[in-house]
Amino acid sequence: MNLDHAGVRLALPTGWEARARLQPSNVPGRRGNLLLHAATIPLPAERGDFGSGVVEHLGPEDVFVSLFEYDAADAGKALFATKGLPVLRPSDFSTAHLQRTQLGRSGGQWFFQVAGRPFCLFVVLGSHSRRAAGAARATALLLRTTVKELA
Amino acid sequence: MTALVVALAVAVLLLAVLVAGLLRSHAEILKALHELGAGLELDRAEGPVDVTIDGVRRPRRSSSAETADAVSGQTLEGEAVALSLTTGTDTLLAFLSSGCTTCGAFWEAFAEQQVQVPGDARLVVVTKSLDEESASALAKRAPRHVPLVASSSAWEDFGVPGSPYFVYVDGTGRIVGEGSAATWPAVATLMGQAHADDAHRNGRLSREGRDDAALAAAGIRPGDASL
Repeated sequence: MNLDHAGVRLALPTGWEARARLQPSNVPGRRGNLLLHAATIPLPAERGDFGSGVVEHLGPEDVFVSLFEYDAADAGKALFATKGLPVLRPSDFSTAHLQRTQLGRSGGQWFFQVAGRPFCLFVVLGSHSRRAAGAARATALLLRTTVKELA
Repeated sequence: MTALVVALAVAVLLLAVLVAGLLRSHAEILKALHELGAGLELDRAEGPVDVTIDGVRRPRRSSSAETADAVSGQTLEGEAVALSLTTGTDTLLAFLSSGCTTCGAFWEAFAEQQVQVPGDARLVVVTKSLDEESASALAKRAPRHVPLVASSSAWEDFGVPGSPYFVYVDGTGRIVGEGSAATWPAVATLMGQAHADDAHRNGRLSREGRDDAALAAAGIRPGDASL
């Protein structure tokens, strides 16, 4: 099953679901930036950009991913200097990297650019103690993700 | 003799009047039922329609497989969605249209905040894609708390003969029941029966069967390279 929206294509592994939309643009006439969510649990229609409304329901094996695009003009900033989708290592995850600290959960955040498009990737794992398996599951999704340049 | 003939003629006349009255009342009943929207709007379906309204059909799909991984399409807000049917949660897919008279009862039933879905399944409304449906009409009918996916391809994938139509998928993507009826309580009863029948069958599964179900829940199907 594929999800294809605004130049980002996900070939979703079994058990994953995803939703993607364009955020309202600050500049009239300009394309809005992409906000993509994927998770191994059902995604509710109402949810925060970084997963509020979803991460509370993650089980120990579950993973939530948010891909948040920034304005193309930001691609030149040092924050987005890393090129290409990140490689997620279990050691990158921490219980302190969450928007709101939740018992047992673990999070990680990466800033990078692909095809001249700057992104923030935010990943929440259902269990910090099982972060090796969770990181592998999130990586499996990223390996099936492609980003194209947009005008 | 003349009196007998006259009596028979009167009797025949009375019977003719009685039959005519019965036919007329029958026609009035049919007309009233039609105005109330009873009956399924399956007349638009292409080819033969194999739907029962007094029981749950044997699961069937257009493809040879009787499993489904996902439903992908678009929401009314323009969001691209790919809803998984293999997250471990049962899903009831409700294939509805904005213009179908019978569907009106379902749109109203789903507007209730607490829709009781058999097996605590997630209810997902699936309409045709927005180039084949009226987005404004759907926006008026569709409740915000029920996920809606506009996807003509899902209608094709599930071999939906017309609307309304319902498909119950368990958390591993296996279709355990499908069919239609004119009211939500009737559909809930039919799908509840399908869910209960499936649970009953699974309760008698051998250890091997339970292992297969657990592997399917993990996304590992027969023939998987990891086996």
